[in-house]
Formats: sequence, structure tokens, C-alpha cells
Amino acid sequence: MDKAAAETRRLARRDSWESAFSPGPLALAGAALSLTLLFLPGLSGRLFIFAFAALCAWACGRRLSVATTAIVMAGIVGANLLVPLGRVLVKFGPIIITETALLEGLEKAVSFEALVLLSKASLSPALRIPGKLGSFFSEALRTYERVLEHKLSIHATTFFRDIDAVLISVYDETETIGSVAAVSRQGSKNKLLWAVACVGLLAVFLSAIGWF
Amino acid sequence: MSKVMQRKDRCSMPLSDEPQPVNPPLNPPNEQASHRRLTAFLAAMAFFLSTVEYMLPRPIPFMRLGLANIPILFAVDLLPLPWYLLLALVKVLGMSVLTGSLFSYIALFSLAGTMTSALAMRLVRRVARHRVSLIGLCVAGAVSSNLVQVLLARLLVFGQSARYMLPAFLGLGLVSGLALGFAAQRFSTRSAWLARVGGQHGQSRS
Repeated sequence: MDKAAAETRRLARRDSWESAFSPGPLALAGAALSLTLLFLPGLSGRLFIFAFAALCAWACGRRLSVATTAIVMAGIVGANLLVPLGRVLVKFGPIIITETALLEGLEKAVSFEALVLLSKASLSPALRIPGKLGSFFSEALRTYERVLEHKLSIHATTFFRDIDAVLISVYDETETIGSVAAVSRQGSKNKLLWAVACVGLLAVFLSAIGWF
Repeated sequence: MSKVMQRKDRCSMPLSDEPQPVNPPLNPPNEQASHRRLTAFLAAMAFFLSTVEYMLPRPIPFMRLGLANIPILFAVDLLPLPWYLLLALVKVLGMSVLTGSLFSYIALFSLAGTMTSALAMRLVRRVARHRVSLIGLCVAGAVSSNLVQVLLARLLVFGQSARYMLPAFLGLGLVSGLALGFAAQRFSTRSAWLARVGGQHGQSRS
């Protein structure tokens, strides 16, 4: 009963979030905050963004797992501790916890999960990407929605047979989808906004791989 | 003759009760439209399989089977290189938007892993032709993908400790590649849809 109530509350939060923000500007804000996080030196600022991102991710009503987040963060910190670096803080038999390794591990773990939470809060499946790639992507999404309509006809015992029947049925339907997509391939009004978003996204990737 | 073309002959009993139409090879003017349609369709299939995998419980947070790579595996024999690479890119983009991970390291790992795996499978197919089965292709893709992801993890997340993860991740790649490869091989020998699409696109590979 509690589980059902929690699910209802989550869906209500999701609806409020989606009605409050448009997908494009929200994605831009997410990209900007992700960039800020990557450029922030030290742990405290990143912890602040992590807390804010966690709050946003909760408010946006996306499914979150505290256990998975904790396990991933512990794994990242643990892996960084395997190579001792800096002043020794504690020794538990063969396990040595060193200061620099611990701080680096915490910084990486907090950044990793903060980026995941920011993405969850700022990216909506309703987000439409501009240009030719965007129109192609929309075409794929429309087909995906058609596939989802058939999901109840797929059973574990006859999985391959059912999947094959769905593929044949949806593939025939996509001829119609293709012609609709050609009509919807029109320029976006918010070209400048999207250009900023693309530059931001590129900057996130470049900074993530250490190019600047 | 490509494997998909051979499969068409082997698939003597259609799985669907409806009569299976015979598709002639594509005319050049229709070729681009047809490749676009198939690429979008395979991308949709990847999104769907990704959603299925998202719902399955994972024993370890980083561990996943990679069901969404099956459409890319089939595309090795069905699409020319530019459309094939577009499929891999759109798969990453779509999954990142749908699961909300586009601005995180996860998207970067996914992009590096998927593109490497796609290129590795294509390369193996080009070099070994049809002496390698879908299982071999899948193992090559999975292992190369995991190798690149461990290298990226060394740079971004785990530091030097990533070397301890390498054997486990390569082992996981081998196991998941074998499992997916067997599933894909089994499906490919029975699928009426794949035989039909292979008949149209099998000859237009680059």
C-alpha cells in the first residue's frame, strides 16, 4: 500500500516538474550546471552541487535508487584507495587509507553521481534535437513508441517468435512514419538556443576527457 | 552471398501465419530512403531492448548484458558504413536521453564503448568475411568495448586501480558477448523479418 502511495507521489512530482519546465531550456540548464561542476576545484563545491542535483532528481520524479548510488560511490572511493597516495590516515590490517587517495576518490565519486543526477533531472524524453540528426532521432523515437505499443504481445515462453511478429508488424507501419517524418523536417525557431546547447554539450565532453 | 541471404533459404518455416512477401533488391533511387528507414527501425529496436534491460535487475551496478547492441550486430550485414555508424551514434544518444544520463560520464563511456564495438565488429566482418559467426562478432565487439571503457575509467574515475578491474571486465565482456551472440545467432536463423530485410539490404552493404 505504501509502495503504491509512494509511486503515486512520484508520478505527481514528475507531472509537476514536466509542466513547470520546457525540455529545451531545462537541458541547457543541466548542461551549464554539469560544466560548472566539472570546472569546480575541490570537494565542497561539488558536494553542494551534488546535494542540489539530488534534490532536483527527486523533485523531477525519475526513478532513483539510493542503494545503487551508494554502492557506485563506495566502489569508486574503494578503487581509488587501492593505490596508496599521500599521508596515511588509518590502517586496518593490510588496508591502508591515505589522505590524497581518499580525497581524490570522494571527488570523483561525488562528481560521477552528481552528473548522473543532473542528467536525470534535466533530460526529458520529450526533448527534441534540432537539425537532420534531430529529425532522424524523432523518427526512431516514433518507431520506438510503436514497438512499445506491442510490448504486451511478447511472452517469455515464445520470446523469439513474438519479437519476430512484432518486428514484421511494426516494420510495415514504418513506411507511413517515414512519410510523416519528411513533413515534420522543418527548421527550429530556437536555433541560437540550440547552438548554445550544442556548444555546452561539446564543452562537457571535452572537459570530461581532459582536453581543457 | 551474405549470411543473411543464406539464412533466407534456411528459414523454411515462417514464424508468422501471414504469407511472407518476397522483396526484390532495391532500386538505387529508393536505396537511401530504405537505409534511413531501416536505420531508424534498428535504432528503435535498440531503444526497446535498452528499456527491457533497464528493467532487469543487475547484480552489480556496472554490469550489463548489452541487449541494445543486438541491432548493431545485425546491422553489420545490413547497412552501409555511414548508416551503420549513424545507428551506433543514435543508439547512444537515444539511450542517454531516455535514461537521463547524457551529461554524465555514463554517456561518454557508452559512446566510446558502442563506437569501438561497432567498428571492431565491422572490421572483423571485413577481414574474416563469413568465416566468423555472429557469436564471434559479438565477442569481438563486447571485449573491445569493455577494454576501451576500462581505459576511460582509468582516465576519469578509478585512476591506476583500473588495472585490477581489467581481467574481470574482459571476462565479463567474453561472457556477455557469448550469451548475446548465441541469442542473436539463434534469432537470426529463425527470424522471418531478418530474412526479409536481409533480402532487401544484404546486397547493398559497403
